[in-house]
Amino acid sequence: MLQRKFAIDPGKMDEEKRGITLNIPQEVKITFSASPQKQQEKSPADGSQTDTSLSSSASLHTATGTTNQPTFNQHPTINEMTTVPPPPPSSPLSFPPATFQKLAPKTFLERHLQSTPATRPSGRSSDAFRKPSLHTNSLSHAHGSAVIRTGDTAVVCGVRGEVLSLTAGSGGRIVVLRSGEDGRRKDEEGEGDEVRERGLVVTNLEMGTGCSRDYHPGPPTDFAQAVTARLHRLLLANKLIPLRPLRILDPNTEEVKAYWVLYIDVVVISLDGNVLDAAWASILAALHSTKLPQAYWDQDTEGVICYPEVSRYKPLEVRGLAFTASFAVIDLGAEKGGKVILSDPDEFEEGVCEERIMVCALEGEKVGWIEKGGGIGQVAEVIECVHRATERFRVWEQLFAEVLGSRG
Amino acid sequence: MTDRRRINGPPEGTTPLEFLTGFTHQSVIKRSPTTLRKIFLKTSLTPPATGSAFLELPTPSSPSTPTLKLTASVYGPRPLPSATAFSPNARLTAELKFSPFSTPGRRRGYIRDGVERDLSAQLSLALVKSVDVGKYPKSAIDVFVSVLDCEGGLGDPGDGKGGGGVEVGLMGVLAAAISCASAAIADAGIECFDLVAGGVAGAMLERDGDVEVGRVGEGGDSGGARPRGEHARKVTLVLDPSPAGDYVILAAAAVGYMAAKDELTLVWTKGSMSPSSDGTEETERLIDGAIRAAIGVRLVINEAIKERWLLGLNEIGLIKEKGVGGDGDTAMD
Amino acid sequence: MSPPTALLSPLPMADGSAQYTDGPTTLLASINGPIEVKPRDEIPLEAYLEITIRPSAGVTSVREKHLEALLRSAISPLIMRTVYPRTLLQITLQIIQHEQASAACTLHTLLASAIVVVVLALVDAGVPMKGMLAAAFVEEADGSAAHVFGYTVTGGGRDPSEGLVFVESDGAFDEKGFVEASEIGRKRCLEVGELMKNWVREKVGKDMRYRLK
Repeated sequence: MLQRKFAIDPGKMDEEKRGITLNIPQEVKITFSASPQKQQEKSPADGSQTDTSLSSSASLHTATGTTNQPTFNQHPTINEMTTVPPPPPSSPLSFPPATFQKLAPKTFLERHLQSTPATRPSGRSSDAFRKPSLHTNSLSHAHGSAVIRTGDTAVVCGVRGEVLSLTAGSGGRIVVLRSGEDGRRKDEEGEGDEVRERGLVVTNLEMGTGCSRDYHPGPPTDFAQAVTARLHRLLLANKLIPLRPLRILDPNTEEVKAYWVLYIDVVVISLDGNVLDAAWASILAALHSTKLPQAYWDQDTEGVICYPEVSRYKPLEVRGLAFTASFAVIDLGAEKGGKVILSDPDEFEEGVCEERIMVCALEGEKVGWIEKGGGIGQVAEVIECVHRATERFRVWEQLFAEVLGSRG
Repeated sequence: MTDRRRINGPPEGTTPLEFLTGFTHQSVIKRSPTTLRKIFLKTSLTPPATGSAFLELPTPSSPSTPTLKLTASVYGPRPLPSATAFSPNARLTAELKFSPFSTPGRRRGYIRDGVERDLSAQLSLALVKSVDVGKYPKSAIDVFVSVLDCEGGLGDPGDGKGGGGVEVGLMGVLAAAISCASAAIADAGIECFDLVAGGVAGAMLERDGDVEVGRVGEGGDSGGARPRGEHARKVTLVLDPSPAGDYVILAAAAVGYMAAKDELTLVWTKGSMSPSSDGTEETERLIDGAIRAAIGVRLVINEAIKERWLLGLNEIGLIKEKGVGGDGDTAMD
Repeated sequence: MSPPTALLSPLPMADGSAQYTDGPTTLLASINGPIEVKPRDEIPLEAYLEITIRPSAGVTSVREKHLEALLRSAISPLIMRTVYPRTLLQITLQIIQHEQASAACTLHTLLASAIVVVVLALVDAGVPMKGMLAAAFVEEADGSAAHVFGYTVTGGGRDPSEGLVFVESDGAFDEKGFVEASEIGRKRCLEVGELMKNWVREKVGKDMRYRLK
């Protein structure tokens, strides 16, 4: 039963195969030369690449050996080849690092990490995060906002309050708890539940802004949706948003008449990997900078009225800090250095590495969330990531203290 | 209908804020009618894109000043999707999107609405004539503009601006989007005939008629007097009108203008002209004003692109520290 | 609580399927593949993995997409996708019932059961895999943290410290607590793994009965 045969039409498979190979011009021959002086000629042509690129280019030649790698014919980026001018017949074709990166992304990364000292294509060491920068309150119509940039990833987060009135048709409200609803950790006040059940926090991540060539305008991709849900869960699980400031009371009876609903929208401006960390930090910074107008329930109009004076705006007392740190893991093989954990992976590294570890570090060296998947590993790797995340927490903490002041 | 692919708010729906009194805390930079606001324009802020630009207006801004902030990124020329038919020219598409937190009043949804569709179409029309599309057969050039923050005046309900006249907010957004996108196209290294700059001018109705014709700007900018109510009020041409400004705009024009070729790629007028004449003269004056605004913006685009180029040349060592180090902020008077 | 039960091949038309009941949770997974793939999703050297989760009521939302992403990261390293390049492997998980006495940890218990049932269905479909994965839910006694661990129970690691494929931990805990929880998780995974092996053995025994006669 385990050896069940599958109904595949072999003729059809061949046809598909031909469809791919037909796109390749016949005259372009992919050959790898082992002649060292060719590499020397090529490498200075690309000014932006460092010496590591050269060494990685060289090591491919020695590693993959000689001519005509048939596996390359099936590679999706093979069409890039057509843009490379055909080589003069006497000298075999050699690639600049950028082409090498596109043709054999995995080998490219592996060669970089095998050089001494191990350096990633971006020039970082494997445990180096990108330096973050933060600006808050630069948007005029949001109640709180933040711009986070880590390397070439940039996100803008805007927090905006709207009013949920309890009188309008809330009498017969049916709360349906759906499967997978994450209702953990309620405390005595049941705060987390109230925020969750009423839907007072609405988190969304927009990637269809031309932030990267892979994301187009239109409905969010599965990836964007998964990150959105992840951010939303983190926000609720860490209970950073206190319930009290979200309540709008009747001034006479002290009864809850309405709620603030916080719309948290994260717009990705530029994407070069690790959108989660940047988006999460931007949400946190925006919440820390959020000031809601003072509002009260007006009995005459049966509505919520806000005071327009800026001096009466009140900060949203966000509780504590929590920062995520993401890692990508690549297995170089037992004899070549084993597993390497890359902190804060960029777009290229995320594309190559399948194994991911994500950690949310809390204050006091606690951990709020760990997610690991995509590869077969061990506990020690996760612990290593926890250590790095704790260090990263301090970097973020310092940045937040500088920008937001002593608050938080 | 809720969006299944996003997290939605409470099913009861939420209402935007209602204030005790109208907005009072907006401060507007005082300037003469013919002065443009300072523009911040910087290219290559979205490195994954082929080309990109960021525009902010006005600058410097204080937290209480509403600003217009938008980013443009350009991808291409890249191969057309295999499903599309053969095209001998490059296909330029433009998408303009308002961020949910960009507008006053109600939060904007994610689904593309009619306004965005309209602005996107106008934007691609304004840009396509400047790009040498014949150079890139079978290719697509995609322009994305995200409005992060705008000054209002979009004609939305609850915008909080009354007093008659036309809203110039959308025109301001479109003009800025044209300038920003054109800078991004140049940043992408796509061959162009010329750059397009957007400019807006409006016919402003003077408050209380206490501004004399001769005292306004460089003179000769004022339109004819127009009776309204009991007072005869002056109508003045104002360049780059701000939707947050404390004046009433009777009519406005936005243009996309290629300064080197002296060609218009887009004209958009709205509002009512004087009922006494056929309006041709006034429309022309408005468009001339918008062109003058566009010429001013063009200088900023030139500076921003030049700066980026010098920076690039400096990086690869072709020139040594010369005229580099600014942040793309170009003053205009 | 009664031990979990499973049924292999409940769906005769699917290439592989499994139903799994653990307390109040009942899930049904079906596998179809390798089948023809849409050109858009085609991967030249690998099979494309499509995972769909259908909730017991209502339509799919962002939460299901999140669960799909988690499930994908758990099972994708075990499937040898290079065996069927340029094809599609379709995994559909139907939540039949998932009710918890409290709202606590519903995502975690669901996730642990989902991994088990999908792995069983993959085995039933005869999809080539590097090993079998078992998942277990571990909760701190005081409710301060909840974990789901996925360990390989066959194939996988050479020594016992290896074989950790999947972690989803929430709460507030420290390094020591996590290591302890992972050890408990590994033991539970091995227990669940034994059950899974028995179910597969039973099924194979039934299928091959004619040979013994």
